[in-house]
Amino acid sequence: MILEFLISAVGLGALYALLTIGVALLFGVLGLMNFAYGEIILAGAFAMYLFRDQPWLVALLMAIVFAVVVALLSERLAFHPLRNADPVTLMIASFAVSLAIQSLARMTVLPRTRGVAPEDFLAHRVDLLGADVSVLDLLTLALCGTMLVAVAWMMGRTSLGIQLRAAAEDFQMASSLGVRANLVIPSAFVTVGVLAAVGSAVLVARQGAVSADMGLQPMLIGVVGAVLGGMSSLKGAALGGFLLGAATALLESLLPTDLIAFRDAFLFSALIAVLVVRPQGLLSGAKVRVS
Amino acid sequence: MKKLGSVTGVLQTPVLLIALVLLAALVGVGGDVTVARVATLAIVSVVFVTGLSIFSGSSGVMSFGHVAFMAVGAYTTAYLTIPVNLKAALFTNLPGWLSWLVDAHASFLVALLVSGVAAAVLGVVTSPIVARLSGLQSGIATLALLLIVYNVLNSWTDVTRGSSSMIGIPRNTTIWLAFAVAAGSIAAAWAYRRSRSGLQLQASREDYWAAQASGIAVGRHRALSWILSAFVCGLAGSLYAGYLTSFNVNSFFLTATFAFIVMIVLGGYLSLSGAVIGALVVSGLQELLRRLQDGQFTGGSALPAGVADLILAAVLLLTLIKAPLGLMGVRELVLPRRRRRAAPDDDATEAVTPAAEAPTQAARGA
Amino acid sequence: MVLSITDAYLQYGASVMAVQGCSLHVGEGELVSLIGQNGAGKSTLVKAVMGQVPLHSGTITVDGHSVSDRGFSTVRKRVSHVPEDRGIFASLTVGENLRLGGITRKDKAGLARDIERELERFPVLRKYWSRGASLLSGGEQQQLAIARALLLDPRLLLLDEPTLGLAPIIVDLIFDVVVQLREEGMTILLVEQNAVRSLEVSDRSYVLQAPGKVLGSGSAAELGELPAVVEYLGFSPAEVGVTR
Repeated sequence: MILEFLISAVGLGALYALLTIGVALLFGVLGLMNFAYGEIILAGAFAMYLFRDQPWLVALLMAIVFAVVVALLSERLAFHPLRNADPVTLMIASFAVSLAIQSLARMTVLPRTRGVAPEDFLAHRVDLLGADVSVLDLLTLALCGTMLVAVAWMMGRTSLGIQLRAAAEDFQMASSLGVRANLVIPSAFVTVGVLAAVGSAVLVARQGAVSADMGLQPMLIGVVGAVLGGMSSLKGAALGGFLLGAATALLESLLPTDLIAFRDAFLFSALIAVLVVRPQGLLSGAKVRVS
Repeated sequence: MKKLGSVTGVLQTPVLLIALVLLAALVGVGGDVTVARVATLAIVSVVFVTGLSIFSGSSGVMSFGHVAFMAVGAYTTAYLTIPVNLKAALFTNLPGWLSWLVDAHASFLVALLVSGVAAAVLGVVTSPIVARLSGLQSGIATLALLLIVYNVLNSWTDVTRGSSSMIGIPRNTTIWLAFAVAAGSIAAAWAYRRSRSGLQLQASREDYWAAQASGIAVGRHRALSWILSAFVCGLAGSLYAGYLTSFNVNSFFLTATFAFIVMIVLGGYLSLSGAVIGALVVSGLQELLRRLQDGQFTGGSALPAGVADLILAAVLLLTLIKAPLGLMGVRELVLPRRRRRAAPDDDATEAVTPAAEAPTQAARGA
Repeated sequence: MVLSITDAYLQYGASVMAVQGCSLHVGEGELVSLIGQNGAGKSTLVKAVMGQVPLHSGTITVDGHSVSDRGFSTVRKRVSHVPEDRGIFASLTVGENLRLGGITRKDKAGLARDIERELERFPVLRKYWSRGASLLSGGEQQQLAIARALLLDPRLLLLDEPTLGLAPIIVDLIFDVVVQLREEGMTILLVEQNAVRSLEVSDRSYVLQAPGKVLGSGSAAELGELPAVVEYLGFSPAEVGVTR
């Protein structure tokens, strides 16, 4: 029972951490609080729906392709011309991008919710050290955990990662050292696309459905996690997302049912409190870039 | 800073704006049922965006949460004007401490006022947030406010009917009532801009810390404008409910927020004229797009739902890229000077409000 | 001429014309200092060379290429800037900060050799190689910033207030490094408030007065002949023992 809960809580934490990094990375590099992140996830989810009859790994690969393409297109068409705009303008622009992609999806392929039958292997339950664990929870944990390790490796060990982190901290200094905006910004969007795609694969498996507005919740989770963790540091953001996920799992098993409906209200009240009292985030000691 | 000139000089802008709204009202009165409906809702939008402009236009801080005030106004009006016997049938599970809601009843004008006050109360409660936050953080916090209000309205089923519609609100909003409220709101917004508090707040737009250092209590002025704008947006919500006679919680969420953002950004969020013109222009555009989507221009073949939203999003993006300060920038509507076509530069300097400058500089920050 | 600024007007912020008609030049292998009080326009000039402040009018060229040219980015890769706030990436380690310094270089062998050379020059950086840069003291951060700038293998090194706020013993160390670099043949433009020390080490100096006016230029001895400069500095270089 406890192990079962732990795997589910840690898995949800890892998923939320993944979502949060996607938001925090673009915020760090571009000052962009990207509300179109949800629609990048939508792109991945749509691929999972489209290729639902293919082997699951093929669908996942296609989800990555779809999400990366949408992420890069949004950069090219909307955010590139606004590279020198202030963060609020960027945020409004991302609203527009979000609505545009959602409308496109509604117009063409997703006028209504589509069911995606869960893969057979996900429905199984396995016996792990005496606990009855669902394969879905295991997959969430394994996939998101792997992605987190991969992102940590890329950020910490590769030249691109160092450049991304430098650009996230001080874009002007980084570019005066020769870090190229035209390399770093698209790379950040590609990374975000991959993260979103993996997130979407997990979300589709958990929800069993795809709809045009499915990106809203995960996007909001990413924003809340990033603010809680401190938007300027990826590590802080990931930790913020992880704790948010773990806390959600805990709350959902502890809170009485009639209060669970108000979970968002509690969450966003906490968000406002953090913004007002501790704008640098709960977990970060660093100074945050204000407005 | 321009000295307060002749009375006609000072009142030129609000009078012109009210005349514009009057024009919209006359179009509505002269037109068929559909036109009347579009005109009335456009004027309700003017009220809302004028309210939003009282805060955003003076402080330079964008808010994504004002629709929450509109929601409070609409729900208040519903509670106060739905006939008592219908209410008893609609709300069978009211918690004991709210059971008085069933019997509460007021005339529409009283309900309108109470709706504004109720929104203003939420404004008072939330004012410490905007008093302390700027830029992006304020944007996120105001959005969070909207999400909280939406979540509560959507989940507190016993009191708010949750995702079911509020129905049975008597239609009390006439186009002339909407016009009267819009005119009053424009006058109030203009009066606030010219007031001491409004002028100081506009001075803080350029440089928050410089204004703070020179003794301007930016937080207090922001809170004041926030509460005033909440009141006006509450009125808009009340008019909305009193016109449509039924509404759903989803009317007060991201779609509405987005539409109002398009209005204020397209018009120019720093200028009251921009807000009013943006509301009228975008309302008209939305109706055109609705007809396009229904197939009225394509020989009856309906376009897929979503086309209108897509075009609206494209309009917003183009505005942000090509003219981030909107159609009006920091200018206000004035009559052309005696020379029929004054040089554009000359015109601009004449029309500029006090302490006008590029807000993007201020917002850009670090 | 490595750096040449002619009649430059530079606007800083929304409305302030911080530099009005400044001309100066730095020759190959020269150490030139800019001396002047706060707000004289020194940092603005340096930022303009980096393209961080737009050129309103006049010309700025590096190796004959104008900074306002489109193709200038290739030239700017050979200009290293150590900004006043040092520009250290606090979330990166010392080693990662250094690696960023050579990010544009193709010759990895040469870069490895240069990293080794800078670690010899600044032993403290070797000691703290894998430590977070935010944990370094101000003086250590300054050394890191200079080492990182040198790893670009620059034609021109711009040092903006490298000793600001540092302990006297560190100030000595930084000036020793500057002298050492001059001896290695590096072309340097040094911005300093410490007029005496910079006159001592520089080949030539420009004395700047707000808004970016050159009051006088030349060696310490030549500056001593200019009454306006002596009055502005409050001392004659010879009086305080500067003999260069």
